[in-house]
Amino acid sequence: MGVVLQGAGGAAGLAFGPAYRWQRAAVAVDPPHEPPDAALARFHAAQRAAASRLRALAERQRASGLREADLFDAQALLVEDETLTDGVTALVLEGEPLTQAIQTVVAQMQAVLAELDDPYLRERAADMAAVGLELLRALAGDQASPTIPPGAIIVADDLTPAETVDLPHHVAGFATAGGGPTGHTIILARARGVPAVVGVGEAILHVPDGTSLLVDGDAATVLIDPDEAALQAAQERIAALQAARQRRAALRDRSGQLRDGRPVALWANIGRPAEARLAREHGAEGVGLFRTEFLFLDRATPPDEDEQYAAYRAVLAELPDCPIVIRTLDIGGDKPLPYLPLPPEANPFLGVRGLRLSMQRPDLFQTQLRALLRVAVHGDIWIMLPMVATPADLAWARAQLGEAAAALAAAGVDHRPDPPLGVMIETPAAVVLADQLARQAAFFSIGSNDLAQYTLAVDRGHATLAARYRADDPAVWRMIELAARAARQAGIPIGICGELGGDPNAAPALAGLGLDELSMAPASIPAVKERLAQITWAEAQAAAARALGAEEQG
Amino acid sequence: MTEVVLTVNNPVGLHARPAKVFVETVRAYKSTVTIQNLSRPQTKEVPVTAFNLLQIGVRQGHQIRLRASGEDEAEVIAALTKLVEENFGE
Repeated sequence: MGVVLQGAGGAAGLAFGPAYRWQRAAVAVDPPHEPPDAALARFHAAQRAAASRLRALAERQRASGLREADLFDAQALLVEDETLTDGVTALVLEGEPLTQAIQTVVAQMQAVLAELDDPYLRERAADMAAVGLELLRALAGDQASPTIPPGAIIVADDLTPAETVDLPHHVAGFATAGGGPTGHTIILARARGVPAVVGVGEAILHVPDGTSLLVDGDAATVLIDPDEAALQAAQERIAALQAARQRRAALRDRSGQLRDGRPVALWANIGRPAEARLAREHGAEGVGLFRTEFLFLDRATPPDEDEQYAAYRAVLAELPDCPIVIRTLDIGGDKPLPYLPLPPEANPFLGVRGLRLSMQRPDLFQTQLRALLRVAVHGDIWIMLPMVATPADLAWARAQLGEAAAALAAAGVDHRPDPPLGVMIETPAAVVLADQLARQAAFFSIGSNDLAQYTLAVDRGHATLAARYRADDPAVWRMIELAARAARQAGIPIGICGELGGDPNAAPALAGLGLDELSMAPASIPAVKERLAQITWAEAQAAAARALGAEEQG
Repeated sequence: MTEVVLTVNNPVGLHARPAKVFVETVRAYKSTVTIQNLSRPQTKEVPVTAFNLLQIGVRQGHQIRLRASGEDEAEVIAALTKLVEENFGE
């Protein structure tokens, strides 16, 4: 007879396997009568070790393209926090053993957070607890990690984010007694694709090792010792999920197309060279948006030509025969850079950003264009301009490109003078003048996030108006349709690289409007590809017609 | 002493990456910088550290007061103002 435990939150998916009770390595024992200076030296060494382990985890997460990387940076910062350092130092000087001092101060800091009136902040107490555990772990030094049997369901009191990402890949799933629905542990489990349930309660800890557990991340439940019927239902669901994954995996090496063979290319949006691998693994046929901001952020001086060249080259190495659309620097008053003093603007979204910044700083633009022209010799590089509003904007950029090519030619540097130069369609002006732009541009790509924001005149982050922001509003669909029609008439390709492009429900209408390419986060590609393979061109056109007239259906 | 009152508008408030950038910016200057979350009147004025930013819980829409004293107080306040007004590049 099975017992069901309800958890506070889950990471989607079903897993069935034997319970394995996971325990943290024992806390190191402090040497007896340790002088305070020796204890503090060990403390500082542990702080450094824990911070560097957390930063390394952040790097690893970042390299796999996971957003959650920032969390480990934030924890690294807390490991070296002054409140913690001062508190521990004071206690140690009073003669308290180091381990106890750390536990006391961390518990105090945790208590401060746990008492706050904000549920989100109360959950951050867990961050503090994790920081304490990381410190104790560093203090104990490296220890052999336990051997976890393949296919096991991990049962734990709680897992810190670092412990979660360190679980071996052969774990089937996990269930923890503690933890909340917005905690980092569950977010990381989702990012890793591991079925998991958190906040199940203490009862789970009394389950003997080897007991059959069914973890249902969708329902946030753990079924202990499931009966035959429950097991069979679960196994059917697991099989269906696996079949969907396999169906999609089978599509991986097929190019994107509708059921009747009409091609719709599926490209990836990436923000760092390391994400190109992720794009390839998900079956991307190209890169529809390579954001170059990462090169410019978090540093004191702008990147030089060679550094940029190396970064662009790295993407080509991963996806050698694919078109790579590289967007020139898209930064504005809302993304500050130390070497780019921009006066505060009353309305940064209508201010100096994207290509407008390049116009104010042609030196930065020239460096980037030169790097791009040099890389273009080695692969299919397309250059995309952000925040173009008028044909004059595009003409200016084209003249700049000519200038960069002439300079490289004069210096005898190998380069391609004429890679495709295209426009990101994200302003209503660019849509209205799309016919004129299309005569000058080599391609269009719809930046649906900003296009929706400017079309609907709604800030998507606005506290009370955000609900009015819909990238699939009929007004936005009509904008896309106008741009697509202009592209078709001029005979240039048009794609989309906003979030709408990765929505399987929007894919039929986007294909129906005649978009040649949909670009999205790599992980979104399989589901969109599958959706497109299910519909015909006529069905796609019908979906487009419905999207354009959606208001009539109320 | 240099002082400024700002409204934090980025979605996560002063947590995660913005908190990191904020603390690192303060560390890059010599002046002492304190912060108070005016939108949570029960919280105190505290030095800018990672933990203190957590405990004063600055969320989107909150007003904060920054005070700096030291030789580069004007510069650090200018740099922090810029970060906040430009939503930490989010």
